[in-house]
Amino acid sequence: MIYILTVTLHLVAMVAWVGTMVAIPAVLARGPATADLVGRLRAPFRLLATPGLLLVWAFGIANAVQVDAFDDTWLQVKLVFVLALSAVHGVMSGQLRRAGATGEVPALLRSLHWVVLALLLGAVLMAVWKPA
Amino acid sequence: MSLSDPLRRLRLAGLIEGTTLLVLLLVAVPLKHLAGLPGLVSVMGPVHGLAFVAYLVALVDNLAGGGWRPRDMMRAGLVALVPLGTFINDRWLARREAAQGGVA
Repeated sequence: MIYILTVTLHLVAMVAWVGTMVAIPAVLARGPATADLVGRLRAPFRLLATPGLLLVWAFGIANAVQVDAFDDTWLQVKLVFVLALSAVHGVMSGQLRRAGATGEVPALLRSLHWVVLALLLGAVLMAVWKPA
Repeated sequence: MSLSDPLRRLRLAGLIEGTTLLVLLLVAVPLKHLAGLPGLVSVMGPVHGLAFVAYLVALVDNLAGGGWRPRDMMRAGLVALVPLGTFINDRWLARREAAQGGVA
């Protein structure tokens, strides 16, 4: 029962985290971005993406401990993708802060949603396929 | 200065990461190999892993905001791999924070 709960919470946290990291660059990708828009997008990043990141890791580790999966190749590969996603989170945070301060949206920030989706594809593929 | 400042978050993450690393290396690992008690390693391993990830995210957050020289980026990244590294680097981060004057 606990495992079912932690897997569920892991997935919900993942949706909140990754969903926000896809939505924000996608909104900024088209057209001009005002300082007001950037400011309003920083709020869901702080309230959804960052807690989501921490909860994904916490529940993910809890899941792995319960089924003793740390030695499994699929999880080790998945961790690389999730670590990269975590680094992208940091990049997005810094770029949003810079955009808020300068009023200009960096080109990198406008395209980060594609990077997030590519890394998500890798992580989910490992979790579903679980290659030996 | 509150935790809304990314540099303050990096300092806190560094201190937590450094502490978990020391507990892992100086308490948990000796308990496992010298006393045959692996329980603490099983706990501290994932805890330190989580702390390391949090430090990594905080570090990249700061780097992506701009204003860091490549040498300082390298140092801030490498200190997480060395026992006491983040504590020593915290002194440099504190000076940087003071120089920034609290601007987020």
